[in-house]
Amino acid sequence: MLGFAAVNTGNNLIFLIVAALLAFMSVSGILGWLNIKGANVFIDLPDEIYSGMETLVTVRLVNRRRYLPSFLLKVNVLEGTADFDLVECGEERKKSFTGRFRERGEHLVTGVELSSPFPINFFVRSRRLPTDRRFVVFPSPLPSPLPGGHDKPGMNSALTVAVKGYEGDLAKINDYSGADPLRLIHWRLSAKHGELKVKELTASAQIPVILDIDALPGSTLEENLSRAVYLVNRLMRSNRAVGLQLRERKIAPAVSRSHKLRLLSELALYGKN
Amino acid sequence: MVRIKTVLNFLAYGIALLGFVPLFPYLETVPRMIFPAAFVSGIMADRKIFPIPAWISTVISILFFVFYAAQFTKDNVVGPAVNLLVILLSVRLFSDKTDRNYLQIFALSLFSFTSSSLFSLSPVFLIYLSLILVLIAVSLVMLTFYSTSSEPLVSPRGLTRIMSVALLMPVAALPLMLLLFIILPRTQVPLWNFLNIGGVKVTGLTEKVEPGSASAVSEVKNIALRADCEKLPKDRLYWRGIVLNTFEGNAWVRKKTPPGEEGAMLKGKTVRQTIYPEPGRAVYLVALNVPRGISGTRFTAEHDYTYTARGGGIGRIKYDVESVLSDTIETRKAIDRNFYLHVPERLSRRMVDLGKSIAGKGKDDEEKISLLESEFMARNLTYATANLPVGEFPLDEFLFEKRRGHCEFFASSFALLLRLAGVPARLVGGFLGGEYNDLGGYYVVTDDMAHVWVEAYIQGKGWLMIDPSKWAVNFPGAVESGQRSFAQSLRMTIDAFSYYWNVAVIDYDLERQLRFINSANIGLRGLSLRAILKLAVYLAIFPCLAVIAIAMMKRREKSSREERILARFLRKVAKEYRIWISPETGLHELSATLNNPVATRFVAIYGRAVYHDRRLAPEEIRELTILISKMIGTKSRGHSGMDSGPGNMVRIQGNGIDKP
Repeated sequence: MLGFAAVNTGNNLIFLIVAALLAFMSVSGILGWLNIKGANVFIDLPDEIYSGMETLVTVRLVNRRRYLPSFLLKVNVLEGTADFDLVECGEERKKSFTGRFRERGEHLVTGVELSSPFPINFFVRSRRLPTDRRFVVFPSPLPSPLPGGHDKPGMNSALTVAVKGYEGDLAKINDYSGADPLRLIHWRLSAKHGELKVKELTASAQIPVILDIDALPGSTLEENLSRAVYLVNRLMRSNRAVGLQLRERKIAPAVSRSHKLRLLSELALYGKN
Repeated sequence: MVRIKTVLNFLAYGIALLGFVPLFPYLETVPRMIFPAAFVSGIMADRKIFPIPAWISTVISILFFVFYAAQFTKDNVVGPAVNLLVILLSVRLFSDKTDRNYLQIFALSLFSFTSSSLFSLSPVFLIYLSLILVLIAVSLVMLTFYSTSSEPLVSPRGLTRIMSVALLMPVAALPLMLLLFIILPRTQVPLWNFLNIGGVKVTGLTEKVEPGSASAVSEVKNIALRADCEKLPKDRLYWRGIVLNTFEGNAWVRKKTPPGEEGAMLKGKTVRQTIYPEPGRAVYLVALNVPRGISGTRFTAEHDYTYTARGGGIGRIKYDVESVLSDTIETRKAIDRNFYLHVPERLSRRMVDLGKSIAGKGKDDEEKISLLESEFMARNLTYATANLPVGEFPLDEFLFEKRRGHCEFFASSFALLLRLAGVPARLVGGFLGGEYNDLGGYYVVTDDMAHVWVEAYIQGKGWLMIDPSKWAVNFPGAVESGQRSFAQSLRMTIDAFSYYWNVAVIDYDLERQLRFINSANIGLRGLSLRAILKLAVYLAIFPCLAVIAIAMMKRREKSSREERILARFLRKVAKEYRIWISPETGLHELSATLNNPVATRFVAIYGRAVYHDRRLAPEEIRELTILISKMIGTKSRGHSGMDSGPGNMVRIQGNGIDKP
């Protein structure tokens, strides 16, 4: 409208204002472009993500520029958004939101969308940052009966060993030996008896369990995978060595955390490739 | 913490003020009163004191809109529009402020400010323009934060960061603005001329010379025109405006020139001028006597070298003139003698007798002129602007009684006596003199320099210029001004700024300039355009370089030698290994990751000094510099630390199979 007035009145002062506004618009465009340009985005996800369950997605934003801070950046990734009002030069900021993944298996984030209305809210500038971020979503755990012995369905082998452990099921109550950890003291019973009583748990880790997904009681493969995930978690928590009997492959039982992640990944990717 | 809205309010009020103040002198009383009231009421409403309900502001807006819309006519557009603008701005100030309302305040203020340029073309505009642009830039950024940020508060440090980046915008926009201003296309003739007001129509030149109508004349030192030309001798500074060819009653007026009169070649020194008349004064195009040709504006020329501007001469114009400094205007054909010998019937006895006696004594026109000159000289006439002759025959009283008067008395009586003696004569109105501004290279001609002289026709020679005022015993035009006082020099400097403002901004038109250069046949066709573009590029580059230089100086001030060399090292590493180094990364940790002997050596030397609170010695700095340069090419040596390590952009994450 001002430009129209300028042309039509031939008034150079209005031309000056128009020139200033145009220049200002161009500079704001450049500034907006610079604002989203020098930023790197990283996505941090927890080790264990289960389908259908809320998980915390952390977005890390690094402003790589030397002079200009980043303002009002919005990161759109994995159906969530993280807002960064101000990230100083060379600074790293973290923002988290909860996300949910519907399907098990390997997920690939090919890009994140970085957008900002800065410096003036007339246009929102956005940029797609290509990434190659892969992560595995495990099947959602479905509670399943805890393996009790050989005869139970779904158990290929199971041994009951009456060795004291710290993480298994409650086996019996014993007197305090002096070497037991404090968290095993059964305070209610101790108060009743007038002397310290400790919970004695089964050391089920020693009993290797091999889960055969086809032998689990679920009606579909997905259900069985979910049950297997539940059982792997449950058994690992009680420090039991767990292995897997997949249709064509067998994974030997072990107890480490990396083994657990391996098992869960196997279950997540089963039948997907 | 600072509330973003508070900052935004401050800025909005500042912008509104900058929109209102330049327009204030041209507003009606109601908007003049409403704006300050709305300003105060707005500040109170922000503090929840007497907030005004939204419906009231709507009603006020509608009422005033109807009121001013009724005043709109084809000839009166700007007046109601600016008053309405200020009313709408006032309403926005006291009503509740939402995101949209802030934008409206900015837009209305900008429009008000812009419309002020239709009333005044003063250079003060530039100051307002820079202020309003800076404030709007900062405000728009703050508004973006206000409407999109998740937090209503901002830390003082954050605010400083936002403000400094926001301020960067108008600074960076400046060179581009100059460039755009130069290249923006312009129409040759304004289409909406009715919007251009340009002040009241003032005729610096009088179209009627009537000596004796007032007993005294006041001398006003208003600027009539500025003329860009070379410095000339003072007695050549006769600025021709209008020819008054008829004496009626007691006044000289201009009537249509008789047909057939045609000018011939003018002989003498040619002087080119560019004339910038003050707005509204360009009814007659004034130029050095005798103006041969005028270009750059629309006009009607007549044979007696009177140029009348077309379109009423309203608004600011400029024109180029080529004048010939000549005392005679030759004519190709004979003139209509009767037209130039006509005198009114009622004249004083003494005047008629004097005319007749000259006619009797003089053999030819030239002799009659010199006889009359001697007559004037013998009377010891005094040049005066007060206690002037009045009455029925003021010219008679001037010559025979009071013997004092100003140029109008001298010229009128001389021309009248010439006609009575049988010599065709006419009056020329214009200016005499001019103050040369050495800084700008132009003459300033003021109203008090208005002057009238005579042109007498000599058969076979043409129109001869005669200035009878020269024969006054105390002729002011003869006195050469001496040394300039400081105040005068200061006035000249300020005037030069105003002049350049007009030349560079108000009258700027690239196309017209190029056309002028081409038509003048200077022979620099291609080059002139390139030169102008070059100038524009320089204008754009210079501020950028200045900003960069200041930034570099600031950086140098801030960082020590040690910090600088470390920064260089880290930059080099980042570049060579394509990694991002987080600021928390320890230097030794980094060198261990890199597994590069050059880097390890650098860290060792650097650490030996800096981690033991010792400054780097000159030879150490030399060695470090060499080491940095040696970092080149280490990429190709292959290295093992690529996939891990602090701050590496290539990372292994917990989930096992991921890459960033």
